[in-house]
Amino acid sequence: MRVSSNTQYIMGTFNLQNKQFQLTKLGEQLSTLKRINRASDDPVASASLVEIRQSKDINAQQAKNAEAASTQLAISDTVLRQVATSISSIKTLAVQAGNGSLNNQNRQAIQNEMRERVKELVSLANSTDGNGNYLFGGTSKGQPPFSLTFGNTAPNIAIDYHGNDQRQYMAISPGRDVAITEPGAALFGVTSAPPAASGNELLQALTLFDESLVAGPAGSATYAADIGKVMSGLDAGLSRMLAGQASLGARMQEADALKDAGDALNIQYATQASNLEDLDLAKAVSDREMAKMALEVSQKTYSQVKGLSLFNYI
Amino acid sequence: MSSIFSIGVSGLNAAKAALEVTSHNIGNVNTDGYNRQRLEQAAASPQFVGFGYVGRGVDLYAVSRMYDGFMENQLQAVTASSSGFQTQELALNDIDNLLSDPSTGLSSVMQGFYSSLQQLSQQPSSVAARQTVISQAETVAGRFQSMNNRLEELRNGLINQVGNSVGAVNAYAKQLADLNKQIVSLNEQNGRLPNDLLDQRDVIVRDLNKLIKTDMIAKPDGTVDVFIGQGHPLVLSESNYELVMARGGVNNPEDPEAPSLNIKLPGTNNLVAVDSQLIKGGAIAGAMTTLTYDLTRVQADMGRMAIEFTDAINSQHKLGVDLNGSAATSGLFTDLSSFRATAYAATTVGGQAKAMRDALDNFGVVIQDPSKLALSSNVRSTAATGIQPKISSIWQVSQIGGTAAANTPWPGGALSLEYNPAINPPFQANAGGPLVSVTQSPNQSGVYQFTLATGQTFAFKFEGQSSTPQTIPIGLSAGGSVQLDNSNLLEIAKLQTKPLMAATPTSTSTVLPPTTDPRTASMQSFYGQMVSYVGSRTNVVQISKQAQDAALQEVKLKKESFSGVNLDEEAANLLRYQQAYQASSKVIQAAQEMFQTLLQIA
Repeated sequence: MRVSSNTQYIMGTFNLQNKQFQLTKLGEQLSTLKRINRASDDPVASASLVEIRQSKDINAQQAKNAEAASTQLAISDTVLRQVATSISSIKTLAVQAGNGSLNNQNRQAIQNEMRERVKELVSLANSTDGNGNYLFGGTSKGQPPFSLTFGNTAPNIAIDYHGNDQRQYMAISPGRDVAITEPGAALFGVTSAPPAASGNELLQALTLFDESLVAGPAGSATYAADIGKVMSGLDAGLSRMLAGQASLGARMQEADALKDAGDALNIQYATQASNLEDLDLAKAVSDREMAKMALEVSQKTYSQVKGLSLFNYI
Repeated sequence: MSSIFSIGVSGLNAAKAALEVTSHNIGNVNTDGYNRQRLEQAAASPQFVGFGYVGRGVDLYAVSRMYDGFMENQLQAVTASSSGFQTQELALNDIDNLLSDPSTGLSSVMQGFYSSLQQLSQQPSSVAARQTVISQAETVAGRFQSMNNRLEELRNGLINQVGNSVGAVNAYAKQLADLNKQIVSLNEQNGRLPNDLLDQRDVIVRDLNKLIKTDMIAKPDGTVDVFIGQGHPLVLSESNYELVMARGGVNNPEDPEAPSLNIKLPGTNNLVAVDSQLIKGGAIAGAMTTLTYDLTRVQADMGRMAIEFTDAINSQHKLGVDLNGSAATSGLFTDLSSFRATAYAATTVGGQAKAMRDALDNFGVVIQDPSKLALSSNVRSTAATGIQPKISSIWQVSQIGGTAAANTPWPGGALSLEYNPAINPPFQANAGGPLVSVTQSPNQSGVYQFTLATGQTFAFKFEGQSSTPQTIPIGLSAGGSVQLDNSNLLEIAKLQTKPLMAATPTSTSTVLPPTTDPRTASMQSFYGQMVSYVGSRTNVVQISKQAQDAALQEVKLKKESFSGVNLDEEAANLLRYQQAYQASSKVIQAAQEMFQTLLQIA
């Protein structure tokens, strides 16, 4: 083949450019440590990466939600524990009140303490979370869920629920929302007023206890039986608290388990993404060495061939 | 004796001319498009002198260029397609970088928006968390717009490039017509053409091919005719036609900005449209291809994402109740559904693309007051507290792509859930007419749903049970009693993974899927498909560009090997013709000495 003087130049620059491009590309991969730096580097893997990243982000967000749900549930759990203590101390008072040798003053003292305990109980039922939202009001925020009024005539104690039966939920996994609140009606009951109804035992027991203490065995033929009713009402309340706690505990456990599963899944997503986009470092480094050497050889050859000319000899 | 003189002189002239040609070759070793030249010489016709024919020296009859028309055509064609792919590659690289870069793409901001919703679900009444959602919504709208602005810059840049290239094409066409004129006037017949002007013309045609692929037809008088597209004349011997870039008009009735190529008929203002898809190379074709296919598709896809995303969020948002207990009066985002109607009414891809660009331009956030975010359900159980079972949450669910009736907030009226422990699931809905059956949600555990005859769909969760049937009345949740209810918010947040998008058709006659196509992709996976489309287009163009560059290299080398100047060869020629010159001088000297000898005898 006939070779023109420009042939060497054209071939030389074309080869040098190609080799420099390869070197730059490998340099970019090595500096980002990623095989894929833009979609055109691997279009199919890039589409998968977009989806994997989203799944990873959603998973991370749900793990965060699970943690937040668990925290929120723990607050309710703590309050219910205190409520149980409070009910137990009222029950202790009821046991004392059952003693037939008490005089009016003794009963007065029991009533005073009992009323303090009731105030404590209602204030626990009106507890708020860190953001001022009532824990046991359903989805209502406007007013405290439970109102408490003391009177000197029946009903001596009136407690009423003003919240609703709805719950607030959080998404902790795809397809699973967990309730993070307990409506107060299910835990404490709706009203202290008669007639006797399932669920209202605790509040009605409080009213009955107060009225029995005012009347005393002298004023009421059913005093002993009423104190017995009070005790069983308080027991019913206590078991509701324990049931509530169990339900909260189960959800906390679920949230914690999902959070751990989420953390494990996070690693899987990260691995999946890494398999797609991360650089095979050893290969890239050796490729780069090869490309560098090839470029150097081209450069040397070009400059040497360029120096050959017949004009040097005439 | 005198013939020896004249033979010597002819040799002297031939050697001198050959030296001139050689010097010319050396001088033009680096001239773009230069074809090496050669002196064409032959022995002069001999004279009969009794005993036989005696030679009369050397005749020079032409200076020819080492030129192969086939190679030149190949070079022009490959130049055109290489330059076409280069234009496409540059534009696609920009789009590719824009979409792939996590800091400029859509993925991160969409995730940010949905994360803010999830955060808010923990504290639905927190004004600060609500404000974050609005800010994130603004970020999403802003990102859609800034991405579109970048695409608009690219689009306008390409249109300007076409416009400027058209101007350059016309300048080249004018130069070609002028050169044709000069060549005709300098044509000395019998193949004696002004070689350097021919080279110059080839260079211009090659430059022209960088802009637009042409077909060149050489004519016997040394001129060339140049055509573009499917035989549209650009240069006909000494006259040139004007190429015009028009916008909108009859070629693009629905998109006033879209460019089209036309040839202006001489002496008139009549334009003849040139189908840009029939132009097979050059920067203009590359730009038109990128504009017509890639940018149009990417902008249409983005526009469609904007429309479907806002429509889905807005439809669900409108079913909610805000922090003050008032029913939502607007969506969270600007309503873009009218642009969808315009796009589907359009009869051209240009019209569809225009509607989608307009949609992106109008993408914004409507709600600015955090308390106006309607995150609570518009319905609630109005049963007395403590009744079993309890409806712990009930909300209306919007239907993606559903009828207006299905997405109209329930206006209120007689509605109740009839609990019946004997059936499974143990509920039926009663809105006055026949009882409506309740089914379990296929993808949400513990969620039940039903659709009223009027089209509205509701979902609810319940807890507890009763041994006897119960009627649980459902009413509107008004009056601000449900600020902590986040069921509408949770339903909005679920849109993140719901299939909102139908796949983009691969047709070239439309960029919109039929409205009946199933929606199969979530926003994010659709975005992934878009990224992948641009990535593979860029990849294909890069590979084609590399292949064309290699082909260009090949053709250039082939042409160089035939037409290129080799300095070693010219150096050798220099010595050779110098020697021939000296030898001819010696012939003259010999003749002179012979003459002298004769004179001395006399």
